[in-house]
Amino acid sequence: MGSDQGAPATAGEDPSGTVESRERFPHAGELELPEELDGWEDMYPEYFQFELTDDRTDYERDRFWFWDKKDTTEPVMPWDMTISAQAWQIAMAQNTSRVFAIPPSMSVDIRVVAGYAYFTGINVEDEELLQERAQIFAERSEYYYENYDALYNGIWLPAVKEIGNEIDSLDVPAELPEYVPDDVITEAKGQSQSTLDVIRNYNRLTELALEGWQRHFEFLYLAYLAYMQFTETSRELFPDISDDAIGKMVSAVEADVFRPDQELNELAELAVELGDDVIDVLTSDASPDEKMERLRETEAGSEFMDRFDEVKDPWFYMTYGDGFHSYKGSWIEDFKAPFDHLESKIDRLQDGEELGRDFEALQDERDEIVDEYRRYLDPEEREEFDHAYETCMTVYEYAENHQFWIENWLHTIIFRKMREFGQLLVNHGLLEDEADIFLFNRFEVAELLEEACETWALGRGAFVSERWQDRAEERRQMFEAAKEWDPSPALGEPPEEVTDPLMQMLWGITTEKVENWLDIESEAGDETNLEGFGSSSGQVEGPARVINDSSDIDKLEEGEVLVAPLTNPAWAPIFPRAAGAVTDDGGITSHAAIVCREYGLPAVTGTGHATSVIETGDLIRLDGETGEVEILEKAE
Amino acid sequence: MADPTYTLHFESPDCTKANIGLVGGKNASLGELMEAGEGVQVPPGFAVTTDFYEAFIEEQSLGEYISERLSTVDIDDDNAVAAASEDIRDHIESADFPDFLADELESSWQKLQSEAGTDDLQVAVRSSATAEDLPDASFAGQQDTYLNVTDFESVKQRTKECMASLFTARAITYREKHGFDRDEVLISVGIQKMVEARTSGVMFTLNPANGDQSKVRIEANWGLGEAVVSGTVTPDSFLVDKPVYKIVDRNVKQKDVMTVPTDAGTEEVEIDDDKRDVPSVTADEIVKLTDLAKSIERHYDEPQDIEWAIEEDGDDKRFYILQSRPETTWNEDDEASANATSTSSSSTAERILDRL
Repeated sequence: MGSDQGAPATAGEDPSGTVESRERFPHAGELELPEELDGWEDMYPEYFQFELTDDRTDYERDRFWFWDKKDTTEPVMPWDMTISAQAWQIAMAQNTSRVFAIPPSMSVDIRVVAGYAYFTGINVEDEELLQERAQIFAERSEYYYENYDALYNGIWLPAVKEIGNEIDSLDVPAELPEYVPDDVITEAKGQSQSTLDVIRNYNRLTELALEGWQRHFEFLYLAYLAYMQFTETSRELFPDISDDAIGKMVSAVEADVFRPDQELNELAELAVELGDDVIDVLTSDASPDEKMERLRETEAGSEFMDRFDEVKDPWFYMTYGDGFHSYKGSWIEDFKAPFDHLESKIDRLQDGEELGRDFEALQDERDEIVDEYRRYLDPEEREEFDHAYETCMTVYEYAENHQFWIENWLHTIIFRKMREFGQLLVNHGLLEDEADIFLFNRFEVAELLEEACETWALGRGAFVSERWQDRAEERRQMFEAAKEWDPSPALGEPPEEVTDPLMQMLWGITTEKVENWLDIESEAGDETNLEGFGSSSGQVEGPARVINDSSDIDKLEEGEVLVAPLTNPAWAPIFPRAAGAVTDDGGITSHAAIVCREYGLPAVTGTGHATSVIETGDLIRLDGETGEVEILEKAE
Repeated sequence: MADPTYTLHFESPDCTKANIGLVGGKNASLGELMEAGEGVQVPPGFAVTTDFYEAFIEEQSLGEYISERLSTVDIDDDNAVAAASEDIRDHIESADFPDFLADELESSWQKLQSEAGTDDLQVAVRSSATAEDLPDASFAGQQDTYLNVTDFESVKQRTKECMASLFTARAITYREKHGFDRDEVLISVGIQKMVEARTSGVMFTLNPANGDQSKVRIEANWGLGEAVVSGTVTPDSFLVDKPVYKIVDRNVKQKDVMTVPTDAGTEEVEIDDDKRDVPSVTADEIVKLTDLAKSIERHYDEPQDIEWAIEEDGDDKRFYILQSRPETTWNEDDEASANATSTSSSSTAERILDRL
């Protein structure tokens, strides 16, 4: 093998003895990046770089790396990496390696290419170590399963809220003062407290952001393992049961991630109840700010706004993207999305439609299916089934809840606070735009803030270097180029077989999918058929709407089939418009799959590359049971 | 029932196991099937009851003749028994039904005709023995099914022949040796519309391959069900997950032959080329069949082996259940022993470890 140029390359003989040889994915060093991306490496911490030294390169080239398309669909900006790959590398890895010691999965190692993350799973094969870990896992996970409610509601949620509230309360001055206040003298403080505060508060912010991400993973794998245990139990007791049927049994989960949509439903219903004063404003062409102002002018409108203000924190701390991108913003900062949703919800109410998921009906349907499966078991089997099911239903809500509290609520607060630091840097002439702060990584921002303090210390009229502004300009262009670049789905040696349960469940990476990627790498032909996971049942046909950028979701029209890298909980309010959904990524337990099931939207997830094969306007058919997607007619 | 009941429609709430003495086992089970749930239909028909038989024997003084004829027979002499059997059956078959019975039979026949909505109704006439716990063959005779019976005269005649089948040589020998009272030996006859099946088949309310009760295995072929039941054709086969109605395994075969009705009964013919590779049931029909399977299984409270047929005439589509009996390959004991390695006491963590 070695470092031959070009891809795909050949990796030795097939073990079956035939002359056919197995292909591999390119190594990182073999990737051809566009010129505009030259020097991207400087934006991210060094430990994320591929092929730094010979020994590291040998280690990397021996492994299979897959693009974490689930979380880095788009490149992640340098600072935003603090709460993604950087947080994951510490928190996600230790969760399996040193916290719960999940026996076969030691951890995940991460690299970054031009803002896109690549993961490799590190597995445990040593029998003795597996035994040792099994014992630790049994004790520790059992404690969590037994005490889920007390741990989650009693400790986790208050702790996360405290992290968010502390970040929110960190003081960031708009500008450092001309002269330090008198108390520095009268109370003999000796030095400017402001510079100390700026450095201290920024450090505290990064600490808290990373701490929040430790919380993110706290129950996550346990929730997925409980789900896996339930699916495996179901498959043993009911051979040939479909993923979709298993999905139905765990649907209708009352998770916080669905609350924003529910709150909007209630607001829309309230608006209709309050009458024309409110409806006319909400359905007008005015901007959100104008709407709010006009509503406050009437009694009915004020009643509506009181309710709106009551629920907006925390429920409209909903990010426009998947939460990992500072530049996408959040509902609470830009009310466009909630007001657009309110308008269409009011329309639907006036057309006599019911809003939202009929939760009770969904639960009844689910319970009926579960009861029927149970009936087909003998008492002993039923006990086994019940145990697996109850555990799953107890902890599985976490798989959805954490996404609201971390990726949406906490991230909104973190990014908002970061923009305050950005403004400080703008006010001191180091940056041109507050959002430019995100173009620098966590360590560089510490340097930037220090430099701001230094130049302030030099006194009025001190020299301010323009190099940060120039660098920001360069990086902005580089980042735009990174968005256009299409990363390889994987790097290095494909595994003979994908056995890691977490890789299959969370990223939907299966042996077939890896083979499929290899085929596409070598052919890139005209495809009309795609296969993925039948994640939410139903068969539909309709024109495709490809949404690569989550802020384009508004373009989705009634009856279209949504085709996206992934679905996103913030899109829930527009789901009633869609006929179905096809995603590139996401296994059967992915958010994409869960959200579609909750909204009864037929869906095929994890097709690998639907967004590159299908174009907006293509007539497509999807089967949410078999996982098949067919392009019936290409758009003109 | 104080007054005699001479005929009884399968739909009647009295046509059940509780009245096996009146309608016989076969008719009772058809009536019982109709109770299995809305939508569970057997091909329409009625029972000619034991009251009818008794009245017929009584009115035509056939009882005396039978007693007399049998009293002189040496039961160990096969030839003598065979001769007596022939005499008795001739007597029954050549006797006329008294008018009140013939009228009753005719009115039930006409009712069936109008129900089927056709003048050229074809029926099967078959005997329905009253002693369920005894082997039918020994008790009531074997040649007791007449297919494609079309006019009332033939119905009358075939009914008598079924009644006469109570007196086959084997049946006589069996009863005499086991000391049955001659007066208590009764028979009922069933008259049932012949299904003009577009597709027929069998279904098991579990997966016969592994005993998984959450599935139903449906096997189907064009035409009548005999080719499927006898195994002369490899049928289309579907495995359906019952709670969610999802087809989890589908095997559409090349089907070469199908069973069709003839004047004499049935025969196997070649299937047209354009239908051989086509599934003999649609996805919607599979859903409906699964529903029927679930209703029937729930009614009998144990896994069933069901014969079914679909009639289709223009827009009119009817699903018929022909027969249902307990599925005996997989019973509770087998399953209990197969799963003897219980994991019921282990914790969630241990269960997860088992799977990692």
